Amino acid sequence: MLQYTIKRLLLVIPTFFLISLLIFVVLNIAPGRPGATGGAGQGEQQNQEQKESYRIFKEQFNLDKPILINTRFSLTRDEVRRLIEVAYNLDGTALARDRIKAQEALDDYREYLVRHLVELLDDPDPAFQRLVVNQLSVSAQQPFRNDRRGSEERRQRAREENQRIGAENLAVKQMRLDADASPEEIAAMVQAWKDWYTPDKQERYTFTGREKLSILLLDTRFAKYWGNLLYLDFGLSTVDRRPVLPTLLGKIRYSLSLTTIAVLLAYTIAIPIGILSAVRQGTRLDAIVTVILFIMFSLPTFFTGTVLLKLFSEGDPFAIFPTGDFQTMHSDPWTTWQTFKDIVWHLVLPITTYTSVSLAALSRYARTGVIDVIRSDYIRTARAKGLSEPAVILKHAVRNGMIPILTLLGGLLPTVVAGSVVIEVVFNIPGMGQYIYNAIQLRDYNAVMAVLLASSFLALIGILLSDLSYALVDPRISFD
Amino acid sequence: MADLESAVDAPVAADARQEDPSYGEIVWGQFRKRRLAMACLYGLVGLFLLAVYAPVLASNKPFIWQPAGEPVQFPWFISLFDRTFFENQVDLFFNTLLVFGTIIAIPVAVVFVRTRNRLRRPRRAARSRALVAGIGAFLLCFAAVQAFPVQKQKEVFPRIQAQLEAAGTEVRAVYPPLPYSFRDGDIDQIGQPISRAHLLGTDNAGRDVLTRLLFGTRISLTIGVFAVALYITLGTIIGSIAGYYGGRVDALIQRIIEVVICVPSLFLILTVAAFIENRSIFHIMVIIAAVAWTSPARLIRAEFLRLRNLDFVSAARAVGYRERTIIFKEILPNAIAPVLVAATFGVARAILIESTMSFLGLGDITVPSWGQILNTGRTTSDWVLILAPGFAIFVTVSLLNLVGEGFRDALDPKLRK
Amino acid sequence: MALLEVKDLKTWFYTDDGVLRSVDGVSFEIDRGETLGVVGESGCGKSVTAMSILRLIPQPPGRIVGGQILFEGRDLVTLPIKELRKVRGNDISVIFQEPMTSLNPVYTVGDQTMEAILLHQSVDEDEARAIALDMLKRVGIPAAETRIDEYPHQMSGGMKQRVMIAMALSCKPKLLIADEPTTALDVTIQAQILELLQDLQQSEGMGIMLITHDLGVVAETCDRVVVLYAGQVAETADTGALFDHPAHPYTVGLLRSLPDRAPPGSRLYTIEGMVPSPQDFPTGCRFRTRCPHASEACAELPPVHDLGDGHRVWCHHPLSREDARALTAERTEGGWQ
Repeated sequence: MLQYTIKRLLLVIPTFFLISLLIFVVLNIAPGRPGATGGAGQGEQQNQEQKESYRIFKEQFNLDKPILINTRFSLTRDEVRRLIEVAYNLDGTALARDRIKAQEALDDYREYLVRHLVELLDDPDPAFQRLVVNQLSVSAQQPFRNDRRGSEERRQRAREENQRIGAENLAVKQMRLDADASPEEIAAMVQAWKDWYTPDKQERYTFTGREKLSILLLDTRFAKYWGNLLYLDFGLSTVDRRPVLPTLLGKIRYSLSLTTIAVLLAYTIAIPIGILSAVRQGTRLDAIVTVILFIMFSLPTFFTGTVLLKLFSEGDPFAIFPTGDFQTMHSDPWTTWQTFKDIVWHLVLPITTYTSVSLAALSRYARTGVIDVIRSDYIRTARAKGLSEPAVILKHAVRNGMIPILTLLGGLLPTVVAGSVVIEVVFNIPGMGQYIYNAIQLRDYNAVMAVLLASSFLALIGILLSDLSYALVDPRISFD
Repeated sequence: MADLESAVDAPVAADARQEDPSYGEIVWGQFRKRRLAMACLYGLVGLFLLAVYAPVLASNKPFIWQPAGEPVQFPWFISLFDRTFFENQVDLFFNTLLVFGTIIAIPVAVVFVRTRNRLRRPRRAARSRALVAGIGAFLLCFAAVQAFPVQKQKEVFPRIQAQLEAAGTEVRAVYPPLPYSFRDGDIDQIGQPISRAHLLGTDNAGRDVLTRLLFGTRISLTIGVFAVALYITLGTIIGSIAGYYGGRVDALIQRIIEVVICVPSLFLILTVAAFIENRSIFHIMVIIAAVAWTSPARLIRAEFLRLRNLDFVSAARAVGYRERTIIFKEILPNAIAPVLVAATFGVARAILIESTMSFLGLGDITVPSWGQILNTGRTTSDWVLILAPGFAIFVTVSLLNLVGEGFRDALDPKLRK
Repeated sequence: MALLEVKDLKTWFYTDDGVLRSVDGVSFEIDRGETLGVVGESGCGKSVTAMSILRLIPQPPGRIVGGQILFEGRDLVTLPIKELRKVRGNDISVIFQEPMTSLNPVYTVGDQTMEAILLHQSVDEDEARAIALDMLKRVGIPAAETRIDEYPHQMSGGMKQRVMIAMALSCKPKLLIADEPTTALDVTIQAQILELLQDLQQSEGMGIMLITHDLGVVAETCDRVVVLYAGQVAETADTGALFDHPAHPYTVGLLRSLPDRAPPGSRLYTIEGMVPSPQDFPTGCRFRTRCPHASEACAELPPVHDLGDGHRVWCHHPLSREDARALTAERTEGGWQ
């Protein structure tokens, strides 16, 4: 058993890695740009500052990197030349779409361009030289180090490093030419860049075989993301530019308090109902219960929620409960009791909605579970021993019939923590569900990623827990 | 003729009558005994017919249109294949069903009725021939509709009629019972309460709610059926491969399934939907299918693992059938039953998922989906807009679930008495 | 007074397909210390009869619609359920046909054996365990001290059936109903179990109702036999008399189809046709559709003929002693020629 548990726990790691890969690829190949709404793609109409800020934005979120595999070290000089030609439409034939693409590629390729750009400085055409110079002043800027994690000393070092990088970048940024630059100015600047390209820079921008291998796999979005993930760093939110994780942890308590109560309530009501209706199978009571449960089962959550909200809090006809949110905003200090009462008052409707939906499914499970068992031979054996009916049901039928429904609990783990999107949206509860809903709509890429990863991880653990609990309650299952 | 037929059949009759009913016929016989499930099946058929014949009930194009002194026109009929009026492929499909489907259904029905009293084997053959021919003919028609698009009218007939009559011209026009468009609203009619003209009132864009509900049936049924068909096919293929070959292939597929199962499906569906620009209901079907294929795959795999060691498979292998033949001709028909039950519940679930997406504003905003109507009801706080689509979803989902339960019970040999 | 007296028992099932008269007017009795064999083909109502005695018929769809079951003079059909529970497992015990599924998989063998003891005897848990252990040893479970804490799935079919027997006998019942106790087991274990039952019967003096379709088992273990056909009694007699001169054509058919009576190489005798299903039992004599002696008179309910010594037969054309002997012997002689 212990061995099995350890084996399963170890298996969680590769599975989680694959899950993250799947989610990552799906999110990244999904059309539409994460984060930016209207940031990119306007080509020349875009002014320099906007372009610059979008570039920095992409850099900050590693969006300038390829998703899984990086082969940019194998760029050739001619490819770079072609990119510049297309981006600035030098031969006048490029389509707008291709130009935008080429422009973005030039933005994204960064340090992989430098070596080729320096070679391209030798071009006889001053106009082209000017473009190369300006591209260099962008591409030669270095990315900043992550100074959000590690020991204080480490962060300090990263910050100092970043200051040095900032100074260098500033210098590089100024080594550019305006559109009306004279041929002399251009020649001077070309020379300045050639001087800048010292041997140590040459070494920095040419890649050895080993460097290429590490670039191939590690200088990618996925690798960078995992690099951060190992430090439990889920990145920054593209909306408020603050780390995702603390925000997320702050949301959990809302979802958790809502769903735990609802799940517990659903179980405590559903199991007796299920057992009762199984024991009374075929009677009128069973028929009524079955019909009611069936109706509850077929009603969509959002419908139940909306109707309850309208009935009991929007004053149509009642206005008993608040129309949403987790608690009332107030300035004067409240006692714990007052706060508690306030929260409970807010949660009545959402909990009712949640409970009614899961209650129906659970009691149906419980009913079929017990009915399956009641027909079995060992129940007849128990009756033949002279046990009373309650003893037969409670001792022999329920324990066996409840095995499947109890192990369902493990599967509920992600829902309990991550909450329900629909209920939190309808009742405006600031929990995880609403957080991911907003994040999805604002394309807050890191936030969405974090929620998806967290709930997948919880699902993995939940499955593990239900398998283990299965083994605990059912002696037939052993893992040795 | 009848004598001749019976004379031909007579010699075979003796042993043909002994012929056992097929598995499908046994299940159908069991299903027919369940009155509630049967009633729900009829309900579903009714819902389907409502979806097909929705334009007959509701359209702002008149069947007949004749201003005084002009020739008779039939705008309603032309509008059925009009890309500017019915923008969506779903509507075109249903309209093809409405026109050509009805025409094709008649001879097929005739074949079914005439073979009613025949013996099992010839009846089965004749009926399946008729069905295949009918479906083929329909697909041809649909292809033709695709190939020759009609783009015509933008006129709003009721308004033109009012103008003409105001100008003193007599107009002869026959409208469907609900002379409204599901798409275009009337700005003068925004937020109307329930009245004789608008049985369920109008929404915040002045559109007749009943008309929109009616056309929403098309959307829900399409999403349900196609998404499920898609993922059942996908899951069945993957599950069969895993279950039949076992070993390393199975282990790999199992791992993939495990990974997909762990990802929270609603979150993922919503996310992907939100990231797609101009999403249509086809995107939504594909997204649902991409997440849901794991459950039929697991079901089929389990059935295969059970079946592949049974004698009839060994026999097929001994005879030297090809692997593909064994998988698809020998094992699959025996393993498919639980999947078909799951499919019925799956349609209900897909409809729920789609309406949830639309409710959250992440569906196809160009179609009159029930979830979207309900969302309008929530934001405008209009009881009719909440209750009517809610009821429609509830009824559809209930019918499907009850039929599914009927099928499950019919398949369960334990319940057979 | 007989230990158990079943009079005109009728157990019907009310299903979607109509009323199934699975047991339709069955009467017999069992004395103390006696073993009664109940034989018949599958579906003839043997098990339903047995389950009816302790009212263990699944209800609905089943219902006892008529008759009496007198146990020591008390009618179990009308006995309040509370009183009946004191009989169940205490005065009357049952061994079921399916040892594989008749034990609860989530409790240990010991727990399940102790359950009845704790219920019916005023003992504490340790004493109950001692009794259970003793019982398990007596039914021949090796290493009972350790096996008492095992779960059913850890045991073989034969072991499980022994546990079932131990459970049934743990309260020293006056009547043991054994419903095909050996069908699911292989031959060597069958013999052991039957021997075990006989030993225990001799030491405890209980009555046994042994339900089986195996006439060989009946010949070896039973004092008297009841032959059931389609929910009704066809014939009842002492074992010796029944095997020597059966009077009902059905019994003759059963005996003639025994493989060990047929010489090697000869074809086995079979009764024509199949047991009718409970929906369409024939009127009158239910065997008449398959009976070689059937006449028009058989459409009427058959009369009972008392042939003396408790040998009774329900038939319009009972066979004479000589005819019966000739018929059951014919096979053997014919085979030798």
